This record gives sequence, structure tokens and C-alpha cells, in this order.
Amino acid sequence: MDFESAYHANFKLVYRFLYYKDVDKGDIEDLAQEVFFRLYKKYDCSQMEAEHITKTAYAIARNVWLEWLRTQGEKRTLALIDDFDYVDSYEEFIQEELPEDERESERERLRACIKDLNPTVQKVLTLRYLEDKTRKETAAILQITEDQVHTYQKRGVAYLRKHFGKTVPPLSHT
Amino acid sequence: MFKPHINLHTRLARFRKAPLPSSIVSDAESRVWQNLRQKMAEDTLMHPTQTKNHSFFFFPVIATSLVLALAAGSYTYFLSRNLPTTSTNTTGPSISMVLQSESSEGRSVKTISTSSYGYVANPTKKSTSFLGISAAYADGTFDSSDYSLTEFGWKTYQYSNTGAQAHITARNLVTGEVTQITDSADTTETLGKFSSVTQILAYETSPWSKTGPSQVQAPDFNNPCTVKYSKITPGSSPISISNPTGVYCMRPISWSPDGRFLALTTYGISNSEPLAIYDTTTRTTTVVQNPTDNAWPSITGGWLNNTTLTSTYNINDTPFNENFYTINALTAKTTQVSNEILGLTSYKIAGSTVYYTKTLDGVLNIDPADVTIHSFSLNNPTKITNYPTTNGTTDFTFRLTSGGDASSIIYSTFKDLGDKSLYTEYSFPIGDSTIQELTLSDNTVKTLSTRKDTDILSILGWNAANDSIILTQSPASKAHTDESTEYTEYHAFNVTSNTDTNLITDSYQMQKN
Repeated sequence: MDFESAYHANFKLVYRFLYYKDVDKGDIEDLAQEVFFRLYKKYDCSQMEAEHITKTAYAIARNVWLEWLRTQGEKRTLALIDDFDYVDSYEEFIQEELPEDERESERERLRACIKDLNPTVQKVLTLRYLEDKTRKETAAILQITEDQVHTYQKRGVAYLRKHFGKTVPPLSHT
Repeated sequence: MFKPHINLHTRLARFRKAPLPSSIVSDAESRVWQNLRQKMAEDTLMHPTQTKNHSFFFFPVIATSLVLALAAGSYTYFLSRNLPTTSTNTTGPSISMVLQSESSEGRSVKTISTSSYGYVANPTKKSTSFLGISAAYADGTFDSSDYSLTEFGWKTYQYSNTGAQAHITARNLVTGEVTQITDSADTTETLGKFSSVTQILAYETSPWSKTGPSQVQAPDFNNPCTVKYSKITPGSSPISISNPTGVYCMRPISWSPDGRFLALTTYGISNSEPLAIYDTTTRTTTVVQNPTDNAWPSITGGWLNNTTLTSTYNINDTPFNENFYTINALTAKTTQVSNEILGLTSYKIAGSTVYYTKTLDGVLNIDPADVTIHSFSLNNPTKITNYPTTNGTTDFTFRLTSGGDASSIIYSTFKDLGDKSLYTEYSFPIGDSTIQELTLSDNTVKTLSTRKDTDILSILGWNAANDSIILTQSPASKAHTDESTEYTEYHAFNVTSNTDTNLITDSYQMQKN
């Protein structure tokens, strides 16, 4: 695969990856360009399988994202890694977006799944996963400590692993 | 093995943001391609003879140079750092070592200053060392993050994939000597757990390596996580703890008082994350079977004696539905101590008494006034002692007698003033905090300190002299002057003289988007 084809085949994945990593809007295109420039400089795409190119683009994107993160200030770096790093994977990288109706359906599933939980755990899960709040923001809203947020989140996630995770079929991949 | 977790979180993550319109991506794709072509053309003009793989041949030289530069830079950085001032209240018996972790990005020297999170508050007064959200006294009396890092077992696995390498070092605060504890080929995330008796640190680690000729780095997928332990003295070699069958990762929780046993959290056998106990004398790890199928460890780590670990087990997937158990480290047998549903957010042991927080109705509401402190004796676990004066507890510790029993409970409370809020986005309430002391012999309560418009977040522990508690607080005047910053102060509060000074100022300030 020539480089231009590799670029067009993977641009959307890289762009979406950076978007969901909460890169500032103004920086996404710059970072995406850096990803593909490194791919161009360091690899000969014509000698690589398509999947290998995608995996390499993913790895470079992760590094570029992390470098960007480190320019955002130490504390923000810590907060973002703490909150978001664990959701990342190659599997996520290649995953297509859900249509909005399915997204809403998934949200409803989540709401239904957690409705029997303790109210504070519900609030923590809702704030963290549906309303995009950081742990610190969640602690501020609920007037509890960050450690408590973490504890409630752990319990909620453990519950979801058993109940929510089983009920939702796997998402389709590209 | 990771898929059930990653799938869940991937799914949850996709809820958080609005879908990305395809038109935006298409437009961006065109713009970036134009710029990229120009950049590639410029690069070709500047480096007309460079082949794509030249960097591969120079890589060993570059990598060696960077490692040397980073090692020298890190050492110089920590020796020459201008350390913040601390309170005189934090002086106490010497702590010979403070553990700290350094993270080196590994590709660019300029990132050293931003990637080294650890710092020592005051080396001459031996106060504390912070690493990101972890903190530890090397004598094992102080660790602010016992449980906050146990949520996602694959975090270290992912962390190493970011390309950053982190090491734990022990710094002798008297001599200034710095010893790297972790293996050079490894990376770690946490400070681990330290036994002051044996001077041994147990820590979680994973291999760190570069793959290929470029800056792309990856972990060893076949061996994602290993717990190792080592003395923190120079020349000591780490010993690896093999993962039991089915376990892909473990995390050290606490050492037994004599340093023989290490309690661990496991990941991989099932969602229930059973505990494990490692015996340093036989170098064997025993998985502690959960007492029932519908129970899994919730809050763990206190040792009653050299062979008895304590843990709560969450029952029936229901938050705040915990029973208290002891675990025999020799047999790995669990024993339920009490039928009381603790509904707790924390517990601490003094002597033979278990103190715990509980919500009044088993459900924690937003109002912290619901939370109170209770206790029972291990000798008579069915007899619960309630302390109604402890309403509104957000955290607690206690003064210990020479025999290890609690003479009083020192706890913080928070009272929401209701009609005041700082800004509307989060409706952050303003309230007053107090530091109270409940004397157990006569159940009298004394207010040691009242903090207006200040939220005491947590009591981290006692200083080495056992006269001051270390706490974090968020004063409204500094914490939320606008919507972009949040601020936490670390204080040492002397509970005898009721004096309070900043232990560390400006210690945690997060700039949001």
C-alpha cells in the first residue's frame, strides 16, 4: 500500500482517536499531521500489510497524544491519564462509531442497569460515563472526596461488568 | 483476557462525547493532507539522501545517549531541586528513606521536568514524598492511596504502552544517596508497599521496551504485570512473585507486621478479584478463595497480627453491603467476624477494636451528615458501639495508647451551608469543616478546629512524632475562585496544641480545559 492510500485508510481512525482523547479542537489536525509525518518518515508503507500500518498508526497516535498531553501541564496530565487512559486500546482505535439512536439505546441500557444501585453510585457512574465529568469534578458535584468517587466507581464498574457487560452484544468492527 | 474489561470501558467511553460528524473528518482529512504533502516535500529537500531506516542504525547510539542523559538529568534534578517550605510541626523521628518515583519519557531530554512527578516536601525534616496521586512515608505509616489505585488492573499494562518509563528510587534523606530499586528493563506505576521492619518494598512492574527502529514502544503482551520486591538498599536484587494460574496481574496491598507475608489483589481469575497472600519464607503465593460466590474483596489491608489479615467482602453486588472477615495467612482460610452489614466507606483497626463508618440507612446520600462512626470488638463482634456525635464524618483517625488501643477518635466533619454556592456549573456548595475529638473513656466531644468555607478532604495519617495529623483541605477562597482551577492544600495540624500550618502549599492545582 502506498503512503497516500495508507493515509486515507487510517486518517479517520487517527482523527477519531484524538477526538475521543479530548485533544483540544485546534490541536487535533496538527497532531494528526504529526502522526502521519512520523509514519512517512519512519516506515515504508509499501512493504507493510494494511493491518500492520493501522497498528503502527495507532501506536504513533498514542505517543503523539501523550506528548501533547505532557504539554498541557503536569496536573492536567495526571488527571487525564488517571481518568481516560484505561479506556484506550487498539480495539477501540478501530471501532466504528455507534449511530446516535444506538448510542441513546446504550445509554438507556446503562441507566436501566444502574437504577437499582445505591443513589450515590448511580450519580458517580452517570457523571463519569454519561456526562463526561472527571473524577475531580464528580467529587466536587457530589461533595465527596476523590477517593470516595474512586471507591464508588469501582463498585459500580464491578457491578456493570457483571450485569451491563453481559447484556450488550459486541460492537461491530471495521 | 482483557476483552471483557476493555469492551465495557470502550462502550462507556463512547457515551461521553457527541458523535463525530463525518463532514468534519472529511474536511480535516483534506486540509491535513495538503499540509502533510508540503511538509513531506520540505523534508525531502532538506534531507534528500536520507533513507527511511537510517534512524534504525543510529538507534542504539541515540538510545544509549538518552538513557545516560536522562539518568544524569534526573539525578541532578532531584539533588538540586528547590524544595518547598514545610511546617515545623512535621519534624519528628528520622525517616531514613523516602521513596519516590521518577518518570522519564525516554525520547526527549526536555521532557524531564514535566514528567517527574515525585518530590520531597522537605528532606531535612523528613516529611513526605508525593508521586502524582500516591504518597508514602518510607516507614510505612503513611500512604494516602491505599485503595485508589486498585480499580483497573490493566492500567500498568496500558501505561507502559504510552512509551513512558517510570522507576522507583529510594533516596536517603541523610546522605542524599539515591538508589534505583526497579530493574532497568521494567516500568512501574505505583510506589508499592513498604515494610519498615524488613526495609523491603513490593511493587507492581511490567516490562518496558522499544519495538522497532522508531519511537513506537510497546509492552510485552505475554507478560503484562509482575509483582517484585526488593530491599531499598544499594546492591539489592528484586525478587519476582510468579502470578498464580489464571492471574495476569497482581498488586501489593500490605505487608504483615513482621514483613513475612504480603497481601495482594489479583486480576484475571474472575471479576471477583480474589486476594492472594505471598509467603516470603516459602516464596509461594496462595489465592484466598472468596467466602461465597456472591462476595468479593472490597476494602482490604489491615493486619491484626503477624498472621491475620482483615478484609471486608462486598456481598451480592450491592454497594455498601459489606461484611467483615479475617483471613489466616498460613491457611488462606476466611472467617466472617460479624453479621453486621457495615455499609461502610472505610474501616480502621486499633487494638482489638474495628472502627468503621456507616450510613444511617445503609444508603449514602449526598449529605455527609448521614455518615457516622461505629465500632465493634473482635472479641464480641455482635455488640456494636454507636457514636452518634460523629455525624457528618468525612474521615477519621485515632490517638493510640501505648498498647495500641484508641484513646480517642479524631474525625473531620463537613456541614453544607446550603444557600451558598461558588459557581453554577457544578453547584459546588460551600460549607464549614471541623476537626473533632471524641474521647472514648467518657464519650465527650471536643472541637479542635473549625474551618470556615473549607472542605477537609481527607486525613492522610499522623506525622512520625504522633502529635500532628496530615490532612488535605480545599478552602473555598482558593479552591474555586473561578471555574478553571481546583486547589488542595496539605496541612499538618497539631492535635495537642491545636495549631495548624501549611505543610505544603500550592500542592495540587488542576487547570481544566
